[in-house]
Amino acid sequence: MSKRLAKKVLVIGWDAADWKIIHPLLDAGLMPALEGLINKGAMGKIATLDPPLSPVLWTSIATGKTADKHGILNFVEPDPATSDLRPVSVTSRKVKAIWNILTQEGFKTHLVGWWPSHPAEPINGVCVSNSFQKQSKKPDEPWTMPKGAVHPKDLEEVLAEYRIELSEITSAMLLPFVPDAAKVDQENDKSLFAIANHLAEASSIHAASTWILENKDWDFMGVYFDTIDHFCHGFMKYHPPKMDGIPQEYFDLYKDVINSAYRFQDMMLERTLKLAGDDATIILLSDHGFHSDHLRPKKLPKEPIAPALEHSPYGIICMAGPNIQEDEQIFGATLLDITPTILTLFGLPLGKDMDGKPLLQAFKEDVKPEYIESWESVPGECGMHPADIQEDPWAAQEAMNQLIELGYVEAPGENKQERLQKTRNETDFILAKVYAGSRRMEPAIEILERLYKENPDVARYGLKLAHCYQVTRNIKGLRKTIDELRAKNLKELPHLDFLEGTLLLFENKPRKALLMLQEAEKSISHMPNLHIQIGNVYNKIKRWADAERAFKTALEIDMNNSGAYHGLAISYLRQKEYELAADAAFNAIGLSYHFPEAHYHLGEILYHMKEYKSSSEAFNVAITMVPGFKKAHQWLIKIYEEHLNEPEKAEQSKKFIKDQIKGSITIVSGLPRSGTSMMMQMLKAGGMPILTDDLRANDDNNPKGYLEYDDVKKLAKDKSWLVNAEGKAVKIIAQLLQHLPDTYTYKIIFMQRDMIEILQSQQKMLGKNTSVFPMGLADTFAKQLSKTESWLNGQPNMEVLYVNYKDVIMNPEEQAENVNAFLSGDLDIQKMSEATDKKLYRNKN
Amino acid sequence: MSSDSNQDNIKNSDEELPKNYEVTAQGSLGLLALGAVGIKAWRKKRKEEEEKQLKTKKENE
Repeated sequence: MSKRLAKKVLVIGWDAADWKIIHPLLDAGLMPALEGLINKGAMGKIATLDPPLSPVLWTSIATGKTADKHGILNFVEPDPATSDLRPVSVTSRKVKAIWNILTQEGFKTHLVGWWPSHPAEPINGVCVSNSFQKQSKKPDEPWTMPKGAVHPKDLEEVLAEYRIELSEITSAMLLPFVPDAAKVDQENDKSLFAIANHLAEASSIHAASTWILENKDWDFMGVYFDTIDHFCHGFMKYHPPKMDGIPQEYFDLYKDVINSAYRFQDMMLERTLKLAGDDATIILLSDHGFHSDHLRPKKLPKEPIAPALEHSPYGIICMAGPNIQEDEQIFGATLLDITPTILTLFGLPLGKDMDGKPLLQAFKEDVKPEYIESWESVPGECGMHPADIQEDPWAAQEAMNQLIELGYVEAPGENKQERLQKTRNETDFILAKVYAGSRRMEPAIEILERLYKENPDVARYGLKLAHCYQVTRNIKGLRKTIDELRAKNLKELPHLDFLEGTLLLFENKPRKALLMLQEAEKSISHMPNLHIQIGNVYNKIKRWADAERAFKTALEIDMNNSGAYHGLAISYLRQKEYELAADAAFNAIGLSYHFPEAHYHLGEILYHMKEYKSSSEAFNVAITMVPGFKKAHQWLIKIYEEHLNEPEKAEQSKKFIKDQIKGSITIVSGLPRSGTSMMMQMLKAGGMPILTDDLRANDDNNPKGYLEYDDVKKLAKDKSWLVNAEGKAVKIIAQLLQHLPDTYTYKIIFMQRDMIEILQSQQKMLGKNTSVFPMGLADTFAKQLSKTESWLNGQPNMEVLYVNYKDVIMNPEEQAENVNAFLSGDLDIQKMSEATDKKLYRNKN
Repeated sequence: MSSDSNQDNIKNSDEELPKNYEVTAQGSLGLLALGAVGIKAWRKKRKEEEEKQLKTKKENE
């Protein structure tokens, strides 16, 4: 056991809390409790996970694991007893939560309201489940506490006394939210009812948690409030500035609700902090933010989990306590880091199967975390339920009604089976998003391909599949899916233009990509990522000033977009506007610290500003994040040798490159007769060193030469010759690529050409009859290409640029420019384009 | 680390309200924000008021 850094830890969850709302309230002195916490601790943004669904996220917070591991994947789950749906229950969680680990280690542990935590787990302390506070929808019936809402049972009666019923909420409590409540037409407008409901539920959770703090010893306590999230879903549309389409009357009535909700949450916080005491370590966090400005969606699509579109990607985190840094910023936190941080505070080891890291930057002391393989295999009573636990279906149904009202769950249809199947599909969709969100594209695509095949009319399945193809650069899959979606004439067409623009960029057609993205801009100009992609195109074609404008547009929409700041930094850097570039790079890093490319470019900017020490620090951060970041090492060598006179540090980077970083080889690939020789000739003309033995002489089929290397043919058996290819370009046909060893990194220029043209050219070369088309061979080649392209997508050491033969013939300069950009080189574009010869394009389809 | 079990004794749950807290039968957000003690004090006051009103009503009858 490592040193224990916290006597006791209190985790307070404010679902959906967002700095954008909090900062003005802090400035006005209206959240004094939070201000006090911030003043004596560390604060920052915390990145959410995709998809931003609260029960999924709060379980990731409590386990340090992604949802595919912890098993909570939706708001609802099938209820085997009724063959219907029920709110997701804690019994579906497959792994230990932090309170189970702490229970197992003998710590006194309490939990109140966590989502999901029903039925209450038998932990070493008090557990009040998320069904405890739920309001009955039947006013004539007595309001009874759901069975299983409290552990231990002997506290059920005591704590039930602290539940606040909706009917108890008075006008004195509602008026701070709606000063003109008397004007509300309560027959037709149920807003006051909703506010009272949220107040009653929040007060119930708060009363239970304060009772525990007043009456029980504790080492760990977790308290969760859904209050801010529920207020935001109902009333953010009325928050200033007034949105278009919101009637003035409603705006006037409800414009104060959101601020009042935050202020009430702060009032409750004040009491909680007082009871927790100064010796407690506090972690206050939200699971995501909530759009409160022009990013508020005007209308939500009619689909499950649509309200999550209102969530923004960064929540809040504050930490304070005896061993927590004061007045410190927390950078790069994610929800997955909370459980590792709590374990570290208690001096306990982290599970290697956890996906997060402890937030060590917030600690006063240097700590080296210890690890065990997994807490799951540590034996002992941990306070989880036995597998055969039963749940009160009525309690579950009441909670379900609230989810339906909030719009998270589709209202029940008559056909239970159909509803179950739809929910099953949505749960699988969420799982696919979880995989995609953690960059595990293969399982995500496997799920999405099945979902889309079985439900071809559900456009979001197809769009997400296309997005995954985009990320993996599966050009064929992306093209096919876009074409299918276009054929359906869907209203999501602008999103297709966006995807197609990205596809064209992959296909090395930046100008066409730009046109398509500009088309999308006409309809979805509110999407910052669209402008970022436009900026990326401009950066690619070196139109730096246009890129600058595009990134600035993205930032006008979302001033917290780290990708936009990063793109802006690059465009300024290339325009030699170093001060502005540095500002933009610092902003990118401030918003998203774990952003190695941003640190890298900051290093480059600071180098040009002659800030060599700071530049080396930035490059060092980049290689801490990505140890094999060769270009960052190369910059460090230059800085240490030429400017800082630290040859021993330069030597470290040199040694690292020599021992650890694989050499880089440029490969020109494709099917024979797809234009590989032409590309080799272009590279040679541009000044790229070529690996060739000139054994194969030029002939009528290839009058300018093949530029081949004979040893390539025996690649499957002998790879020793590859050392000669380092830093050079070599031609390797597509079918042999899979024999390349992973001890090198590769930049592959993959030539694509119409299959009929390829085969005609091959037939002619072999002296065969070109009028007979070898259909079987075409099919085989197409399958081989498809297999190779998918294989390439999964190779981390291979970067691929697909180049179309015909495009090179038609626009040699544009293609030469793009190849040069891909190789990050200084090739002579003019000479490259001159190396092509239209006259040699003889086998046209 | 605490060594006591779930059955440890309940401490004083009748903690006094912080000073300067006005408790009315109508209640307030401030009372809700005080948590358990606030709820308890408010309900007590509300009950007293109801009994008082009932008594007055009976006297008037």
